Amino acid sequence: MMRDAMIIFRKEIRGLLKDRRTLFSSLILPILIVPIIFLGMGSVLGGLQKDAEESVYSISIKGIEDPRFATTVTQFLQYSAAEDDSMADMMVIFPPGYRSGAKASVQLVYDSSSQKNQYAASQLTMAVNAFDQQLTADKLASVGLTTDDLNSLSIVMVDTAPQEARSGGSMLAMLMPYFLIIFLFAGSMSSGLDVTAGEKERGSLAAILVNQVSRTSIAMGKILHVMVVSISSALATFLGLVIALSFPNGGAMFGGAEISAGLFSISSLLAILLGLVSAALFTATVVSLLGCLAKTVKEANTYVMPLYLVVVFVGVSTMYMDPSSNIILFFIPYVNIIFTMKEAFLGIGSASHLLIATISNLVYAAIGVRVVSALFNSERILQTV
Amino acid sequence: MIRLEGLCKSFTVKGTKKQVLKNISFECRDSEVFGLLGPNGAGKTTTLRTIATLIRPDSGRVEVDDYDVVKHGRQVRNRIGFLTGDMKLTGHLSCRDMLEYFGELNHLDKETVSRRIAELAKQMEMEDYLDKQIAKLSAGMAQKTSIAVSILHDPHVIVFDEPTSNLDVMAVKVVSDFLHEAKQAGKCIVLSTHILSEAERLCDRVGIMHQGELLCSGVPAQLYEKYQVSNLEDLFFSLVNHKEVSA
Repeated sequence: MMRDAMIIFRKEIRGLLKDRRTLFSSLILPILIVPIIFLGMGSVLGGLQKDAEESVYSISIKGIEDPRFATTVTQFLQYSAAEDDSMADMMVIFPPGYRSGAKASVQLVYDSSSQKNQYAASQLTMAVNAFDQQLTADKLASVGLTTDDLNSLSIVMVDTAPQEARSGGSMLAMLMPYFLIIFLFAGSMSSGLDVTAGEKERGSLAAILVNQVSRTSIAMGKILHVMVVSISSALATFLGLVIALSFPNGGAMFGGAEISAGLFSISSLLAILLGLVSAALFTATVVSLLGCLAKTVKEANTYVMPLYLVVVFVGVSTMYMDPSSNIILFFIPYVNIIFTMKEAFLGIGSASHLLIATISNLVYAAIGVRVVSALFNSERILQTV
Repeated sequence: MIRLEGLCKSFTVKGTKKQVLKNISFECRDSEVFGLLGPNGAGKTTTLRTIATLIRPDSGRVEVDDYDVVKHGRQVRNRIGFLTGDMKLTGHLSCRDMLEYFGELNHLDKETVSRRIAELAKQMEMEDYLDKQIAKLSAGMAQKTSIAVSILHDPHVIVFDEPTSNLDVMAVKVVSDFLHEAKQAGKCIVLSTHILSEAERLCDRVGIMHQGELLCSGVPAQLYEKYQVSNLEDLFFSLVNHKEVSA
């Protein structure tokens, strides 16, 4: 049976390798997308930060005569005194009759719709706090005390997170499962629908069925092909991640300056790979099943799109979740792989979680393969009207 | 030889059972083209798909070269070349790739496949574009490739379902020429069509189907005499209209 399935598989792969557009969208694009998104995002955000830091802001400071405040502000951002309030980027307003050291509420007027203004407002807040500490220090000095005399406790933070999590793994655990699952599903969509509903629509399925290979072999060959495309898309995404990390300061974009492609242990990488393979097999069977049920590719798309949106929803909704020990989650397709990958990226992988997730996906996939085979063995497979 | 005896078939569509074939019986001999004629929905495609083992009959018997299509599906498929008019070979594979693929599907060894590709390329004048991508071929070239794919394993029986639908004049000629040559070579050929002029020119015997029933079958000249008509078109409309009026 597998020998016949491989005939179908080889033909589909040969067709794929000769189709430049599908090759680009299934393999090349996923490799490029992560470096482009993260390097592009890092470059844009870095540029914005630099611009915000180097800009000279027009600030109107009112109600304070103490020259030390203006000096303090210059330590936090570059500014020039606004000649007119209407021309000012922002205003710092002390209450009328304010004298240095008196208790007062300082008003900070700024425009939150501007990123630069938000940055300047946070810097001004720090300047006001620094000036306040200076005034407090003056008051304490007048009675022979320092600010240290007020503090009896100090805090020393000890981070127990594994090395992977501390050096940017938490950012990867948040984003990468989403990207990998999305590309895994997207990769299976085009190929899965083409070899099922597409083949029906082109009328070539009947020709394939009137041959010496069993219909179960045909179903298996097609599912195998969809799975390989699906896993290739996901692995290409992962390769994109490795490329992004290989760039100078690549790790900084994932929230940790020390992160690098060599940081992950072999066991973590194997866990991610195993999870992806099982998810790819499950996805391939589900997409092939929906493609078999549909009469045309257009109809098949209407079946698959809701599922794709569910996968996107699962990816987004689990993005900010911490790894969970709730065993039920590891039985739910896609959710199980997302949490398994989160654990692997954070270096806290659990063999039992990985095993449950993988076996669950394989069992669901096996059920799917049986249903697809049954469909191929029924007359329904040829329904196009 | 193809033999159908009392073939019946029903489909359930949206909970309603509909009988699409009602007691169909006919036979097609070697070196003969049998034309199955009828309007859309007459049951032609279901009949041909049953012969090709794609659909199981509810009752009745269908044999191809004395093999029962239900009991000996694999042997039947080995003897049948099946082609549908809505088959659109496309994609980035070349004609040769596609032929080799179907050779594998038919469990032919590599030497036989190479030999058959060479034979068919010569017979159907495909040598110039054998290594071209199918997606880049004209409709006629693609149709020749489809025919070649369906008969790569050199079947004795040829079953073509509306082989000329949606084809231009040049591509129709390709099909007609092929069927003529196949008949000369002793093949047993059944084709369905709704183009009556085509049937009149190609078929030795015809059967007219309507609403799942075979209204008549036989040699055209004898049928004209029996029903007092002068051509296939008159025969067709006379029988179909009579059936609708009596219904």
